[in-house]
Amino acid sequence: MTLIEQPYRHWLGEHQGIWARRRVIAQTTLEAWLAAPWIKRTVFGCWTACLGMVALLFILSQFVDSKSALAEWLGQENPSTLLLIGMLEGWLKQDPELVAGVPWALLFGFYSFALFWPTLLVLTMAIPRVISRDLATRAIVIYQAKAVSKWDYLMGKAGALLGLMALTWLGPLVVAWFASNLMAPTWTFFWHTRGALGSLLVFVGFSIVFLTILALGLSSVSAKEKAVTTTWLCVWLLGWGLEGLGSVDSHNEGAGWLRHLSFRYNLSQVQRRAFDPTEKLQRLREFKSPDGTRPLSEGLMPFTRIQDLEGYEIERHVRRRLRSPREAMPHDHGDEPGEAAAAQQRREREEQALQNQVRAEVSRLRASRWNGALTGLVMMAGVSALIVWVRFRKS
Amino acid sequence: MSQPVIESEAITKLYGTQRALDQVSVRVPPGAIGLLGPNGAGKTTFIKCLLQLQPLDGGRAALLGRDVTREGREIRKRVGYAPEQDCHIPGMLGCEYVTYCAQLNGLPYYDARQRAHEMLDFVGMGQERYRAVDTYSTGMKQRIKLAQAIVHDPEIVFLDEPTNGLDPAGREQILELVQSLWVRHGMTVVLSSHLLHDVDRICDQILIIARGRLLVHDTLQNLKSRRVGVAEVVVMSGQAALKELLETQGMRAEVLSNGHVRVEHGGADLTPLLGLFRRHQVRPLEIIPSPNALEEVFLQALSEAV
Repeated sequence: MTLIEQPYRHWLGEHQGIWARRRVIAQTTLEAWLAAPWIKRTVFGCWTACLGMVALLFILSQFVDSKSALAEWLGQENPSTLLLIGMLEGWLKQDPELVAGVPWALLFGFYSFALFWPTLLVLTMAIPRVISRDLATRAIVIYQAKAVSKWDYLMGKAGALLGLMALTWLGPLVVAWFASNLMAPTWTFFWHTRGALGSLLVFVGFSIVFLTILALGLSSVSAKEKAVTTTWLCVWLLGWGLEGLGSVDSHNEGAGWLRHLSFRYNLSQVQRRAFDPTEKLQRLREFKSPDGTRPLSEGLMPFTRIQDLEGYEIERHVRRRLRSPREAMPHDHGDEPGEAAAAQQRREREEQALQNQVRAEVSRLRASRWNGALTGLVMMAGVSALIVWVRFRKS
Repeated sequence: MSQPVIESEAITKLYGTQRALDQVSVRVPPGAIGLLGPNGAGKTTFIKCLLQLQPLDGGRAALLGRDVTREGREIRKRVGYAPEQDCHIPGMLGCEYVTYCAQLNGLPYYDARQRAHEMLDFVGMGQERYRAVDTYSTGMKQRIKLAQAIVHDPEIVFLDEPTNGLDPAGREQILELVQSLWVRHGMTVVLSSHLLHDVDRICDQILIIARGRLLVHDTLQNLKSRRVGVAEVVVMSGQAALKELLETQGMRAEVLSNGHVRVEHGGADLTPLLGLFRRHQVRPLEIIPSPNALEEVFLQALSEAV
């Protein structure tokens, strides 16, 4: 007796297009990753962070509206706070781009930097499962025997990686931007903070495309998942270590190019370029309260510093280097009052010249690092694409 | 002759310096096609080249009237393939896996899911479909490979050693299913195997490949008719006497280990042999005309190729 009871029926439906098939590959791969507990937890953590961002931005937006519930409550507790809030509100009317746009950009610069780490963590867990596992189980043969080409397969896998990074990185940031503006005192916040959205889309968009290419390449290195994980960790952590060797304070100045072997460093240059936190903080210094403090720039200083640690380091290093020979020269203070004033003027001129020199040197160094970072990223993406091409060329 | 489903023109495939396929040219009409050859003959390579899993190093090939190099993706929408090795997507349940395979061939999700369950029923899989494919036994893997190969209702299905590792009952069921695909549902089946009995049982056309070359392409009927004049006679007893009788008539005869008497009678049919038995009061239980004809054709083809 046969077990077969189901008669065979022909299927008479319409085939779906190739994009639907690519989407199926991406969706199925992503669902399989999200079934892994640690990936699920990390994604959950990123969205929890998103809620934290929304809460912080909500509080910030309440500070520029004297009629907000927070302002009223704080005003009852401390009337001087209400004065500060009123002042911020005035500034917002005077220069909304600066008062709303710049703090948002600085905070989103910080957030986009902060969510980079869980994204790398999730990639560590996902990379061996992108292509390597399919090679190990010969699932690749199944894909190739279906109505998808190897490029469709790669596009599907790339879609899964983009989707995963959208869940841990881009998604929480965009949702935080949208929700914070939704809860802002006026709808115009959407317009005033568009710069922050643009910067994060540029930086995170660029980064996830780069990391997708890198992940595809690394996952094609071997059919052994452990070998793929080890290679990924080497690329990430070894590169991170090499950043130290190439830092400005390193004794080995010729090793500066080593820092560009770190994709983390190279992406941090893209982030700095997209958000330009130091320049933005400088602009916020324009706002002073009656007691001489700078509430906006001081409040946002830690968020800025953490985004551009290297910028501060470069500036300190250049300043020290340029100042040392000047300090070694004898100073002419002048005995007569006229001479003293002239010496003072000369010193001020020298200081101004020094500042200009520092600025020029800093921007030269920054430009060189930006070029190096772009070269590094292009080379890494190129090597990665080459690995994928070699792996799939003959299969 | 109907429109060929497989056409190849001097296709060549090289692995380094070794010629896995050497100028293979063939035009195969629809049917149940047996692809025979010893291990390493180039059967799997031939299939892989037709499906574009391996690029061709020379020649051209077409499936269902379309060029495989230019229209590979469109062709594979109408073609099924069950590979020889275990290939699965890790972590997936059986029904998810077959649904996914259907979706990869362009079926919308709900159709894919429904078809997947139908095909799993068709291949005789019960509740095992809700287990991860990684945990399946060899028999279940063979069944699910068949299910994923036909889930999108292809016009032609390539089955590479589909009965490997199956017990006799399981093998019989799979062969019955495969046979029904062509006989009842008009799906062209290409069965690659080194098991001659399987091919003999369900195929009506035979391709024999050895050392990368196509040695034979003909219908099974024609091949069998080339080997006329051999029969196996089954008798209850008196095998030695029967052998002696046949030899006295100038025929070569031998008693096989299963008790059958194999005779080379040399005739186009069994009429002379039946007349002889009638005259000498021999009452055989059964007379098997041209037993192992395929095996003999196969061995002859191989020996000619050497």
